[in-house]
Parts: sequence; C-alpha cells; structure tokens
Amino acid sequence: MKTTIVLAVLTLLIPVAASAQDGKLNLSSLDRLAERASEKQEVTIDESMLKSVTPGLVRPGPKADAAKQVLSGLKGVYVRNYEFEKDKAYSMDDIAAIRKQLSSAGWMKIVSNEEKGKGPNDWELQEIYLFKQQDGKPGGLVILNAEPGELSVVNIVGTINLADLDGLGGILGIPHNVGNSLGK
Amino acid sequence: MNMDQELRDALQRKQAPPDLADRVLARINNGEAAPASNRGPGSSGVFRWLAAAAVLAIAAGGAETYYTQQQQAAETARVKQELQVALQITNDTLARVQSKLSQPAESSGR
Repeated sequence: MKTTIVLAVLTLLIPVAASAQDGKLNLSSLDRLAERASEKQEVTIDESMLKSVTPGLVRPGPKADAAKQVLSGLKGVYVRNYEFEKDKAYSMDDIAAIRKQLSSAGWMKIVSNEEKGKGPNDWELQEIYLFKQQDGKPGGLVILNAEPGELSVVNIVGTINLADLDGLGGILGIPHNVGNSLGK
Repeated sequence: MNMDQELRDALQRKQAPPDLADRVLARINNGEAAPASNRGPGSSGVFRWLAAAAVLAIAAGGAETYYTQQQQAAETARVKQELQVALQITNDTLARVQSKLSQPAESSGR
C-alpha cells in the first residue's frame, strides 16, 4: 500500500520535474495577481510560435546572423509585468511559488538583492537565475523584480544567456543595450 | 496586322447563319451527330464542366495560398510585436536590477 502511494506521488511529480528541466517556469500562480493589477503586460511565446515566425522576423543587416543564431536557440519567452495601485496588492508570499521552482536542481542564482525595511510594505527583491542543462549548456534564465507596487517576471527558455540578448538589440526594435548591463 | 488586331478579329462576335437552327434541328431529327473532328474543346458539356472545375480549383488554390500567406504575415507581425514588448520589459527589468545593485546599501534608505 505504502509503495503504491509513493509510486503514485512520484508519477504525479514527473511532469513537474520534466518542466523544470527545460528552464521553463510555471507562472500560473501569478494569474491571481493579474486580476488585482491596475496595469499588466503578459507575453507568452512558445517554441512553435517562435519557429514558425523566425524566418520572417529578422531582416537582412549586419546583425542579422547574430540575431538569427540567438532566435534559433530560443524555446520560449514568457513575461509577466504587473503594476498595482495599492502597495498592499501582493506580498512576498505571492511569489513564493515562483521562487520555490527556482530552488530546484539546475537553477543557479547569479544576482540577488533583497531589502526589508521596518514597515510591512517596505521591501523589495531583485534576482536573476540561470538554468543549466545536464550537459552544462544554458537552458534559460529568469529575471525577477518585485517591489510593493510592481512585479516583473521574465522567463526566457533556451540556449541563451544575458550576453546573448544583446544579439537581438537593434534588430527587432529592441534597444541596443539589452543584456549589456549585467551580461558582460 | 498586329496581334491586337488579330485578337480583336478572332474574338469578334459573328452572326450565326440564318439557317443554322433549321440545320441543327434537321440533324437532330435524323439522328445524326456532328463529326468528332468538328467538335471544339468547349462544345462538349464534359469539357466545359472540366474546364470550369479546373478554373475553380486553381482559383480556390490561389485564394487559399494568399489567405495562408496573409495569416502567416499577420502571425509574424504579432509575434514580433510581442517579442519586442517582452525584450523591452526584459531590458527595463535588467536596468532596474542593475540600478538597485549599484546603489550603496546605506543610500537605499532601508
């Protein structure tokens, strides 16, 4: 009986483990925050969408090859950006589910800044994580910025690092310095 | 004679002979059929239907290709726009993180 329960639990955990192995986060826990946000920007671009449009995405130019190379390594781009009118709209507990995923194997925190003041709304958090696949290659990254009135979660999946983002700069109407500040 | 003139002459409407109807009826009554060599490609009902079907198929294929291309272009534009938004937010978030990291701890006011 005990063995059966353990096997059942393990079976249920397989999809979670599998999703964690490709550098993609489950962002569904943020859905309830979206309902409270006064402004929100949500972007979900999966691999099939990227592959179907990549040929027409990059126009010929001096940085086209670099951009194509970066895009070919992308497997998904997921962004959640919320702004709240009230500072108490969310707490650190609301992003605990995201951070818990980032504590699993493969994720490595490369930047962390956490500040807590005296007041209940006097806190903020900035973190950057890189995901390494079993072969040591990059599998994705997460940029997290949480402040009382604003929350941004960026999850880029694929063989990409911060410096690679610069390869897209100036090509898609993207600033030239994307990823420059921390990636180099 | 130039080609335009030749085409105009070839396509010009010609009046049927006055006894055409009588001759056709007489042949039908006599059970005669027109010689095969006299049949034009458009005179047969089957040919006409086949030609119409071919034209329709080509038109439908062309329309579908055009529609698919338009859809693909719209999808590309949409994804491109979303990618721009995503990377702009990424850039802003990175700048925010860098700004926080570059602030001395004591000047953060916490």
